[in-house]
Amino acid sequence: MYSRLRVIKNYLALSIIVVTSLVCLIPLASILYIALREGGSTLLELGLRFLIELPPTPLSPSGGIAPALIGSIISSTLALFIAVPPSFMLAYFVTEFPRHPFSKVCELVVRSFTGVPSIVVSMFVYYTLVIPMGTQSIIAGSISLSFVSLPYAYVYFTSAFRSIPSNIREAAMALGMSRVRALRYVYVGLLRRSLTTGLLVTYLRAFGDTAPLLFTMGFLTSTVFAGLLKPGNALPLLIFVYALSPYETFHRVAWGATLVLLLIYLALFIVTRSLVRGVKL
Amino acid sequence: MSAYAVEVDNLTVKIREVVVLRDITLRIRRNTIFVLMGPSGSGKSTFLRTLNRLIDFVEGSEVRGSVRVLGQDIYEVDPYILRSKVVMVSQEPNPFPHMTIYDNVALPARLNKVARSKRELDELVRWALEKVMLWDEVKDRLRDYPHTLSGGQRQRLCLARALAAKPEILLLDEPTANIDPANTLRIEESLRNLRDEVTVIMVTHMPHQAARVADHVALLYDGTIVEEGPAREVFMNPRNDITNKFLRGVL
Amino acid sequence: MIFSSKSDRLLFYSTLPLVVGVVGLLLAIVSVTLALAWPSIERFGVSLLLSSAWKPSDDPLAESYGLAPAVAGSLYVAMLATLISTPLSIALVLTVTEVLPRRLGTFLRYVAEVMGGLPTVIYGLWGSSVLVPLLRDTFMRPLHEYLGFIPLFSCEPVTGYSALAASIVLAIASTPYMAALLIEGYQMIPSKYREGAYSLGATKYEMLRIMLGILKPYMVAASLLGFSRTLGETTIVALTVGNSLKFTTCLLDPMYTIPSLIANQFESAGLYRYALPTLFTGALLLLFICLVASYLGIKLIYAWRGRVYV
Repeated sequence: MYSRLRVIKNYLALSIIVVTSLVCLIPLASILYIALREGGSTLLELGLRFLIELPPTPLSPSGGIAPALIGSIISSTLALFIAVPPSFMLAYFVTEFPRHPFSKVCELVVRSFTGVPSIVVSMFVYYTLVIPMGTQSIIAGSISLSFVSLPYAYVYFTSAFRSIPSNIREAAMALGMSRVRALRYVYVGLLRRSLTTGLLVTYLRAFGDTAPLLFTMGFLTSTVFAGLLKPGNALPLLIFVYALSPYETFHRVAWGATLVLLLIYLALFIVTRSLVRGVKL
Repeated sequence: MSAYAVEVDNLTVKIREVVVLRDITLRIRRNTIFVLMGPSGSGKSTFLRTLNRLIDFVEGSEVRGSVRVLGQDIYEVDPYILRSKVVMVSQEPNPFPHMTIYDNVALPARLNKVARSKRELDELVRWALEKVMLWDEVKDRLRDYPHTLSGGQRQRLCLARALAAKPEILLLDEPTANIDPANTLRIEESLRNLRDEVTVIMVTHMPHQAARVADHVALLYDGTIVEEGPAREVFMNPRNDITNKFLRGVL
Repeated sequence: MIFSSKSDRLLFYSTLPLVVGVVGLLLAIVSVTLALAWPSIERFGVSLLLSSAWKPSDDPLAESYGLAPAVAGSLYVAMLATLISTPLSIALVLTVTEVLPRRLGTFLRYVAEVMGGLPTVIYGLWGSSVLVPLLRDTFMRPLHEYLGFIPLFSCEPVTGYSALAASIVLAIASTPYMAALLIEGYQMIPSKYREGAYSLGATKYEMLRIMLGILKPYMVAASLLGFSRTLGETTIVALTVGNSLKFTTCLLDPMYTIPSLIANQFESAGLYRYALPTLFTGALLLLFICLVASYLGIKLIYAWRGRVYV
């Protein structure tokens, strides 16, 4: 039955499988190392001033990322405020009335939305918002980000709502609660951890996204914050533009910014994961 | 004001084309304990769920006939309002796990505005827990969560929660099916104390339980009412052979 | 459908504008892109797909654009990246769910999740400054030397920025995403099939092959979704693909993809009459292919789910 060959094949195959997957994960180590090495030197040079100063001109020795940091924080928060309420409500409607034709349409459309390339969204917002407004702006960038985040937030919320055990639903209904009441008093409390995680994940995603901001955000370097209706900057955007440029100074700033972005990302990621401990059933 | 809590006429319920309840006609008086008994699968749960329109949530369900609860046709009222007056306790204990024991009992009362102040609410919670004989066991840990209670205690908690909503009719779907004997007896005892406050409609597959608790009984077999009447009469002198078999435990 | 309760009706009427809004938004994106692309389609027609010129000019009559290099590059890069990441993500899924002991598997899954959400611009920067030079010297030069007779490798890799480089970095970035999809699907398979395999005397490896067989349609769907994602990717590609307008079939040469073309040319395109519409035509093509691919992928997953739960 278990011929020698079969056993050997088993071990061989399993080893190959494991080694292959480790190969996938090594890049992370490399990224962390390089970011620390390159970005670390920039940060050590300037310390916290890196976060507060304005970006450099090509010829100056160094600079900071203040407008990009502020811009990222503001635009991600705005995107959250714009994208979450609709996706939350839609997700609730679709899980409560799954057979209604509107739910079927909604599921199809919103899930297909994940297939829209974010650069196309950026072009769309450019034409419909930036041109009429006459300028690129933080608000345009935020709206662009929210369009891209909305379907993912929706998918997250629908799976959260679908995870409500059916006996809890029945208990709520059997006590005479309406759907809206049940949502407010029972489901939200039950799901508070997943919902918070959903918010954080959406925020994180918006924070690290570049393409939606390309033609909509602008590239502010002269001051930290010029207003919501004026151009702004964002961390990923800054890294992208500076990485493509030929100047050494810009490259150093890009690496410093990469380290900052990486650290923020990892910190938020760990917070998110530590929240996923559920409610005892 | 109708003398009856529930008036059912020619009720037929189909689920996905399968007939579950066949041409049922029934009258249930107010302030009695009415027990619907029958073997598993005879449609008892479906009957309860038709009374509070939970059957609306079942895929492929069809309800024909007339059902009047507290004098009103149930399909002419807002189902949520109906369910706040006709409260159901399920077979499987289902206290809300993320709310404390106190909050669980207080919730429906708060939502239906049964109590108007914090003090009234506290009194209501205590009253409900006393009625199910759980008060002494939990009075020092009202801020604990339901998972610290045993299965039987949880079911009594659910009963208290339903009572605190001050319903007119209380529906009980095999409330002691998953509960140990000691808790079962306590629950049955609490039911007997409730006659003045509510109309109790209970479903069970255990004839002895029906005998202990009921004022009126009906036997549901294969979707139809085979026999009904005051409890004593039906148990002493069953008219139908099926009833006989059921009571003897043969069915 | 009649909502018999006032509360439900309220819920419906407040959600209604949102549904309309979302559908409207999708339609708006498609139609605006079409409308803005139209002048270019009208003027150049099919030659957009065949020509590799990029001649902006102040005289509208002298303008000439072609999307051929970008389209070819997009397809090359996306297909190659998906080809690389599919087996890698399968290996990752199997390792994490079956082969390794529980704790280690969960830890690796954690690592994969971190990689999956990492901002793409970080992958792009790392790829362009670290991986590309490394690849050029250790992988691409030898490839050109020994396999140069194959047209795919017939050009000399000077800088290393190329379709191959872009595909590899893209594959590294999208493997965690595909793996997460596959893990979801894998965990949906009822355990009875696994037990069945073992009870027939299969070794672990043989059981995995059976499970993969069950998962196959799902893997196709995941590849489609991965393909759609890599097609629309901008930052990684713009930083590693070389951004060259020359039409080439060699994987070691710099190329363009539609998103990187748009990213690079958008600003200056506004100055010329037909440049911007051409870019929008590219966007339209991209939109179309991506929507179709992800729609198919999602439908396949639903169909598969229905079969597996029988």
